[in-house]
Amino acid sequence: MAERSDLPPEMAQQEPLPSGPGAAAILSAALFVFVLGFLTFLAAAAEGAKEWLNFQNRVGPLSGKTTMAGVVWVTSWPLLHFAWRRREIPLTPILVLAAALILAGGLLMFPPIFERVEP
Amino acid sequence: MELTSREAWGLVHGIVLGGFFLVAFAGVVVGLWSFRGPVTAEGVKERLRRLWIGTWGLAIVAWAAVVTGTYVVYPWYRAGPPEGTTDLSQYPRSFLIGNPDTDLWHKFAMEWKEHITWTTPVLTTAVAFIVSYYGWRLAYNSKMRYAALALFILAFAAAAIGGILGGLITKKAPIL
Repeated sequence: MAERSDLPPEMAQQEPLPSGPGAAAILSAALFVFVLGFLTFLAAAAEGAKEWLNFQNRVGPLSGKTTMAGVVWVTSWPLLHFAWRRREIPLTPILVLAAALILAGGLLMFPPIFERVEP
Repeated sequence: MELTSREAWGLVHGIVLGGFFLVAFAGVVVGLWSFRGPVTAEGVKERLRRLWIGTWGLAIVAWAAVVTGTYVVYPWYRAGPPEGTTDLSQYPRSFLIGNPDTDLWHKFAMEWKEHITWTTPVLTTAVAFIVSYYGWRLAYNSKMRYAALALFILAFAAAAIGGILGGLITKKAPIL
């Protein structure tokens, strides 16, 4: 961060903002990716899960996968935001965790991986 | 040069919305990358307004693209043919799966595209939030700025995969 003396006066007077809300946005987005990948893998492996995720017939299990991942996202984001809104959360471990979640989710929704577990 | 309503929706989803996201990404990512201190108050105001419009605009476009794709175009793609149908050209999914020379266009291409592209609007929304929340402070917070950039680039990668595969699938099995 720049020294506050480097900032234009109008900005130097404003309070710095903690990293918590940014970390919350990043981590909850990463959670969405992971949950979507996980549900994709689960639907491929278990016929029961695939049927349960069929929220809308015309769209099929994709409707349930994206809806449930979306529920996790819109739930976790405000929870994390309010928990961390005044806190300076170390970004590096959050970014590492987010990267791991996104990588795992991305792999789980990659067809050569999830199609291996199809019955 | 007429289009059916289904072709028109496919155009809206893929070319208008998806294409716009892919092209406009370049401008917004440059704006985010170059948003570095030291800045003047006037300069940051002007650049921040463009970043705000760019990131939220692309988030909205990305949401519109995945929602039209999933809930308008995709049902037409995956609709099953009535029993006894021999001409599967009106049923793209069945058409692709029914031939071992084309089944990977569904089993790999569409299966990947339909999932990965949903990450684009979510990641882009997170970027738009970071830009809005931190505002000018992003110019002096390189870690948060690079994190936002990384999410944005991942969003673009997912959209690019979807766009390329979607275009190729449409060529193989158009929705008429």
